[in-house]
Amino acid sequence: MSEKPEKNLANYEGDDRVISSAEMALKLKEKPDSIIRVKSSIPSLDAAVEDFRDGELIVISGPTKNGKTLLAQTLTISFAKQQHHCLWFSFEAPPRQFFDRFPEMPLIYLPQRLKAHAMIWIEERIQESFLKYHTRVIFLDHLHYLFDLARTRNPSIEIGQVIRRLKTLAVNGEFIIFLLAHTVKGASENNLSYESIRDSSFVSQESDSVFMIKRTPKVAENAARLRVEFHRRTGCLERVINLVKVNGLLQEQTFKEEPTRREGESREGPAWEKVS
Amino acid sequence: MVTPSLLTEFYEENEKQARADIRYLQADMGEMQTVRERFADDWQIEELIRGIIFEEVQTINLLKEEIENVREARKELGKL
Repeated sequence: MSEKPEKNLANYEGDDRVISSAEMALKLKEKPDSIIRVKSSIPSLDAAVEDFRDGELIVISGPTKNGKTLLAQTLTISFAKQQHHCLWFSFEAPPRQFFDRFPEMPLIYLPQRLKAHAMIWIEERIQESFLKYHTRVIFLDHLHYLFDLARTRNPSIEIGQVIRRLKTLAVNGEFIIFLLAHTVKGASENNLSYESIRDSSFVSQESDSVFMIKRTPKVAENAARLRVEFHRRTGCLERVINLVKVNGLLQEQTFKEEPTRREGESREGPAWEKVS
Repeated sequence: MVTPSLLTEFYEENEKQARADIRYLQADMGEMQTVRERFADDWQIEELIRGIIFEEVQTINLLKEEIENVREARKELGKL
């Protein structure tokens, strides 16, 4: 190593300089644990995740037409009631259809025009929305609009990069990012878990939590089952929450009596597709 | 004398003003969020800011309705 850079580095005072754990602990004490904490208003989900906090990347997955967007919209309304208004990227549904899906339209922010397969553009819009409206909660519907699958040789690696960028953005920008992702085809027939998320295991590896949602028409026409696959901060694992759609939104289904469990079923609830 | 063109001008001005007000309120909500975060430990400030943001959202909704009404009125005027 040459002498000059060594000399410079010895006096380096940049933001990314190396400091001791004691200095870091003092720095951390200056700041609150989290800048933003929001609740879902679904009691069991709130118990499982202990509020959603900045720096978190949450993945919502499940088969098509099984309630991913509905859950995201339910959360959006719930956050708006706590006066936290979200930024939405709804690639899947056109704006009119997206608006119609809300039983009551909360105040949200969204780009006037969407640009698919453009991560830099998404990052810019997130920054724009933050600077203009101080939005910290972001919904991205859905993952496969964030990169060009047709031009990708290895979707798994590409998704891994996208997820890592989102996680970095969430941490550095102190945002809460909800990412919707499809499951692999046929996943609904078998046991559904975070391993069923389409194209990449990176999705679950890099995210803070994965929620799997699936409708349970055998239980009731408007019923769904949400499973918190894992949550890194709270350590919650495979928590099952029964949901029901009421007035266009999801809410927790509470049983007066504990439902009868069949042989082999855990306390958390029956496995996917085993409900009769 | 009130002419259709004068009314149209009035409606246009009304919509322009309402849009500007919405933008101002949205920006102010952002400012409020900054204050909310700065005083995150103070529940009184938290409550106060939440109340202010709630009122601002209500006002935005009223202004949105006003714009819709103005647009409707302009449409009716166009039929004359």
